Amino acid sequence: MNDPLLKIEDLHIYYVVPIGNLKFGYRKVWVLKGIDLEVSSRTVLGIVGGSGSGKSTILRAILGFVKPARGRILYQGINLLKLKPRDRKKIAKEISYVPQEPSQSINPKMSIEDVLTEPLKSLGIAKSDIDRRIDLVLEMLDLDRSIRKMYAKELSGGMLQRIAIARAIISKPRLVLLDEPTSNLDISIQAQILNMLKDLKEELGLTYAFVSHDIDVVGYIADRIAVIASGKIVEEGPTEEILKESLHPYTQLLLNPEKTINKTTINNNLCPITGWCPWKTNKCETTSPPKTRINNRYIYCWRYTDLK
Amino acid sequence: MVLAVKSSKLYIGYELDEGIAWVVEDLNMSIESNITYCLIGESGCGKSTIGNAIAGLLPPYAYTHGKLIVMDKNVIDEGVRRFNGIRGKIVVKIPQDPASALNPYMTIGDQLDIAVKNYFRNLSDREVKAKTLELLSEVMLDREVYDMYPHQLSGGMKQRAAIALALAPEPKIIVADEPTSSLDAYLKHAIASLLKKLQREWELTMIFITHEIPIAQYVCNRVAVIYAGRIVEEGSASDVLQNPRHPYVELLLKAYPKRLARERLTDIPGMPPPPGRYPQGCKFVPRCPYVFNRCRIEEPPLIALGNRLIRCWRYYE
Repeated sequence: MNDPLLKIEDLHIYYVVPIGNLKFGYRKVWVLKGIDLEVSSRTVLGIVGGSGSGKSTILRAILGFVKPARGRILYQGINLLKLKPRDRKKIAKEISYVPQEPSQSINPKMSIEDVLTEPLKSLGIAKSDIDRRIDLVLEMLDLDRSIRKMYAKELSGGMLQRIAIARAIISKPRLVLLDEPTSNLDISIQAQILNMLKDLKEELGLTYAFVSHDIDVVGYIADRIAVIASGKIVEEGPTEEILKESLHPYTQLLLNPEKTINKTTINNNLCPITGWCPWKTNKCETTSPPKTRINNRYIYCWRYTDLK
Repeated sequence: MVLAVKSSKLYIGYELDEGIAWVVEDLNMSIESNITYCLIGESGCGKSTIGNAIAGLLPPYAYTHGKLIVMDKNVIDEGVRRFNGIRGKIVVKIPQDPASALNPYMTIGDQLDIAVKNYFRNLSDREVKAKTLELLSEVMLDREVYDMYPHQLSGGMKQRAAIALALAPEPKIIVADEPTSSLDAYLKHAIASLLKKLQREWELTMIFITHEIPIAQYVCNRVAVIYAGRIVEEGSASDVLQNPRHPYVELLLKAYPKRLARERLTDIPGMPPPPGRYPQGCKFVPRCPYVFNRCRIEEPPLIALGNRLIRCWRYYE
């Protein structure tokens, strides 16, 4: 396999939250506890998990919005966490981001043209070139040229999401981070956006990290899927294998949600599903399961570690 | 057969600068008692407006036309709306965003106590609390939640608390307006199965509004697919969602990613028309792959086809 475009090693992140209501004091809540991920060039990595599992935090860490406590994020072999701000800016244009809620990320006071110009201005691109690029991107996304003079409030949710994608690809990035780009859209619009993302990936040779809570949406677009629960990866592998025969009970839960009532994950240092796992042993209650490789995939479960 | 909700030629609209925009047009709907009836549709198609009309929560500036009968009471009669004795007692609504239904300054227990006291005036304080705790256990919340504030609860727990609040007056009809849309995949099913269980045990008529087909398939007995303010296909959930006849429903089902199928999704070109700007003729004409001349000129009526209703000229024989 060729060298991964992005490699995350042992990523640990905590957030600081206040204790109680009227007490002074703070405590650390670990949101990511040792994440290892790899994204090869021109592939799609899907990250699936429940809300609060830390899946968006991974993307925020890659973008530099949160500071990890420990670990490395390697982009083409360069550790992003050790970079000086000036060097980081050079890499920044190669990584772009599509947020979940486009209506909140697009400035209501700027016309769409200005929204799309903004990322290019900071790269020092000539004005005539900017114009050409905007036209090109609008054409690629099936948007009419008249949209340039419009404002965010005049556009529907699906259109705004297209603008957010246009803004992300206009700087010609290599890696696009997508944070639940379709979860607020209607089914027919979701299909349009998913198909468009697939086409863009082929046309422009993009690499995606696609975060979603819907395993079927991720299954449609991703080459590999990482399932994450309470800040830990529980299973990672090729999409077909994960969807066809998932090994970890948590993945099976995501695939057959109708079987569950009140099955929650626990945020501690152990396996997140010790509360209800059918295969629980004494070992699970004392130590966290290590990363185990089975053929082409990784699993974090004592059952499989012991089998090996 | 007892009908819980019946509407005939119901129109609901709002005033715009250009005139009245009719969001819901010519709605003829009969919902039997003790079933879960699903309204499926995309945003802006008028499904929440129908839900609000049944729950008696239309804003005063809304225009109505036609008839709506809830539990044998004529609640909407042309422009007149009489919801006293129905709203909040016989029909209740579970909102999309549970946080909007809960008072942030009161504990869950206090809020439920007030609601229970309001409907059962001759209960003592102790009986009220007992009833509240019973409601909490019905929705599978711990006793500790009684003393907790909404901000201390997770999204799923808030939704359960909102359901308990809705059940306090012991209603007959529940309008659940996208109760699962703000939750993640497996919580969706937990809430959906809770509602399904409550519907059966309390013998409720549930009107379940959603845009998620898997959830509808799981919860509902009957399904009405709404497009541009009108029913385009209505029938039993298994018929409509497994073997759709209307082109819109057909395409909608194909647009949802299927597990392990990697072929391209069929997307429906264009977007649903906004209220007040519905096209002439059949409202699905601009996006339909099977259009012929008649579709552009005349709107098809809702006709019976076997045991389902459908609004498409292709089946008009």
